[in-house]
Amino acid sequence: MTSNQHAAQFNGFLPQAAGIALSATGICRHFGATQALDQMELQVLPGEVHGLVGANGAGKSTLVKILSGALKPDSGTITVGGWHGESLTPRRVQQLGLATIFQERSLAPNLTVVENIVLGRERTIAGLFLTPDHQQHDVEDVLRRVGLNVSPMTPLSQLSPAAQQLVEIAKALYRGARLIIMDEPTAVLGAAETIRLLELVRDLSSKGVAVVYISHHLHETLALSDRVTVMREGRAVLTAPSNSMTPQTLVEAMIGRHVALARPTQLKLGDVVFSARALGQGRRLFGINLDLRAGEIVGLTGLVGSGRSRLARVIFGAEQPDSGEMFLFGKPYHPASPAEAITLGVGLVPEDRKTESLLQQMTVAQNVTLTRMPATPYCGFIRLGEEQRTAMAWVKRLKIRSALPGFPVSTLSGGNQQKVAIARWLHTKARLMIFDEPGQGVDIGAKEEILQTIGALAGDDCAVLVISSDLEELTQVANRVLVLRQGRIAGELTGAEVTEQRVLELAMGTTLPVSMDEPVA
Amino acid sequence: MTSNPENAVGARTNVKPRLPALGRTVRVYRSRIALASVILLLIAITATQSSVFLTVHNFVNVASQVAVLGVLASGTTLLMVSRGMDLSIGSSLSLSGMVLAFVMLQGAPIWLAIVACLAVAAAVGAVNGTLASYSPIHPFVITLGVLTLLQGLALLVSQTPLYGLPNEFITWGRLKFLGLPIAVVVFALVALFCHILLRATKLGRWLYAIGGSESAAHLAGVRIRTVKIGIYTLNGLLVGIGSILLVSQIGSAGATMGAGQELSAIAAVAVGGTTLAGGKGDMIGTLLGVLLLGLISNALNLMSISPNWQYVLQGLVIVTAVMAQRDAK
Repeated sequence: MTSNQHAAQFNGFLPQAAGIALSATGICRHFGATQALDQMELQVLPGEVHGLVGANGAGKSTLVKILSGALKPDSGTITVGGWHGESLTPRRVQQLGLATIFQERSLAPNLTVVENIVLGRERTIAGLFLTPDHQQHDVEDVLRRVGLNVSPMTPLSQLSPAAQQLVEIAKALYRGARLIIMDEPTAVLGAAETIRLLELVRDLSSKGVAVVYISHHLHETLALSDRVTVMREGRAVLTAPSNSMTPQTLVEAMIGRHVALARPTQLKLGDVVFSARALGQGRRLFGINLDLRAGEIVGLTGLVGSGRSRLARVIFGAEQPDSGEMFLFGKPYHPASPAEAITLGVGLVPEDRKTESLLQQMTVAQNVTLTRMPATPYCGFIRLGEEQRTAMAWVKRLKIRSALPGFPVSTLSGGNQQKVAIARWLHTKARLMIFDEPGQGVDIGAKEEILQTIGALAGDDCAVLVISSDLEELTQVANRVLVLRQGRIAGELTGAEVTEQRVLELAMGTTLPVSMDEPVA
Repeated sequence: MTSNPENAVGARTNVKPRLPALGRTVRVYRSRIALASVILLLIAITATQSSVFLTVHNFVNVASQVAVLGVLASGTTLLMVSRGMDLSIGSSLSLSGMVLAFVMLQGAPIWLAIVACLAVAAAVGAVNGTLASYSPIHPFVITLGVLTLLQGLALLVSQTPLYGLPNEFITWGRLKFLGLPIAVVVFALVALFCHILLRATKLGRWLYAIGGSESAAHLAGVRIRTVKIGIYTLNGLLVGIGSILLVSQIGSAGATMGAGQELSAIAAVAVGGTTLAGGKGDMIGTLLGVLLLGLISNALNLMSISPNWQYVLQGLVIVTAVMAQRDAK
């Protein structure tokens, strides 16, 4: 008896002989005004490796959450084996032999390997006391299958991220999984570990376990998978045998349209305000070279996790680089904290408005003046009247609608909140501004105004770095666009070169990186 | 874009409603009104039961009974607004009071004893602040440990209460200004100081910001650690002031005289609408909370209800008052 059959029989599931392992049809799901999934279709055959690709925001994560029972779809049908219904629950997912390996580990670090694997399936005496053997034999069996050579009694926290991932897969197999969804499984792995994981996926597939493989690595996905589905704007736009596709054709399918993008008017550039040379941080940023000039708006894009926000935090002093140098107005610049960066004239509008940018319980006025309060030089008494007037001036200038300085900022809409966040830095008179996803969660009208404000800032001789996944937004404001891939600048695009095709190719690495910013290994 | 929205904004701005600077919304007022009603109800009921309750003398009496608690609650308000917590204030009160009495009994001048007392209490605060800002452990747990440690130190100074303090000190503690005991005056000054600090200074604004979201405050340039250490130290200093008041009121110092005071202070602050989650609250709420606690025990005393029932009723009122404010979160 193979170990595969053993695990399957132990859990009362017989291998599916034929048919479809998983079928999801007409799946819709919205968040507020955003349609995350729109009539999504996915069919996975038993034992196949099914690649799933798409740009940021295409709806992959939402689909994964629905298939793992964490989210309910608005409508649609899901069929697994003989079961079909509208939505899954985590419990049903287990019973049906589905499993998801998320990007973030979902194991308990303080428990041992065996405790993690049997968690929720412990064999007990009288429903209370654990049996002494801890099902160790079965656990050793699944660990062997995933090729993990550790004692089952090892605490999980002592394992490397790669080994922890294998424990997750072992846990799925222990539960008799017939279909495993892997969301960006190689993101945390080194080269050798990646090769091992890919071998494991092929091995699982040959033993009849289907794998849905979600990845930004197009080469890897095509080489590994039998079939591939491309998602765009919440739908499957293409499902095809992988050997009929190339990375380029995948990227074309992900974009699907060629929009005429508006170009910003060429501004006259001033002196270099900020530069970075060979800036590096751990395994997140490598050899970043960057020059930002007064009056210039530079776009920075890349996949989520490519190091965009991290670079912004390093420039702003919220994180420290390990190597390289930074200069501000020609002088060496090593901010130890945001407070120091702010006094030197640097500002950052973080991506997460709720927890990183605005203080929700505080008023509009208090949020606007937080970095530069109108206060007496001694004792720091705030001139409350002047604070209200200052805030009112910004409310009017940035057209922050239906807001009074005394309103709690939480009562404002997303777009108006973002304007408050921007007003803070205009009030601080920052000379180098970084905007992290300034248009996220903002309605179209407000977005337009925010982009105009950013443009005006550059007209005022401020150097501006705009981080965004939204290419239309970037092409509208940025003079040039830098593309990050895995912590490196993969290329720089200007003028007519800035197309979604080129950006995605650089971001996903379908072509060799452009030479100029290639780090010195 | 049409000009309508702009006009709408313009029209509203001309009205210039005078909203308070701290931006308390109607909802916050609602919970404030609820608390004030509970206090008024308590006053009304007690007034019918006791003839001496509604006298100036009795209210001065209540004020001087809550003075020390009020000073502690003022400092605790500053901490809780910034999502901090110091459970060691009760035993710090005991320790610094023991130091005060001990130094005086050695024949040292009174001013030196006072300096020593304040220095000990402020140092305790500074240590708590440093631990709270450099360690990821919740200050609740850290200061719980410090509580025990300080209690031990206070007992090491002397297991028996220290009597026989200089007459000068005792008479000083009985001074009155405008008919008010000095403890009440000091409490009023401390409360006013904390009120202004929270409402109209940069430091106060930073406390609200840190309590609201530490990462947002950090990214807005607030020097979190400096502010935290500073505010815990200030809180320690206030504990020292409270301990001088307490020792002068009772005329001696005992190693366990502050036990449980931290919980009363936190209860008063919480009743006053400052949440453990931080980012909101103010001194006016704390004053109401302190007043409520003081009135309850005064009223129950006047109605000759046994101290055991006092605990029960006091607990019930605290829970009710806090629950009544739940919607203000």
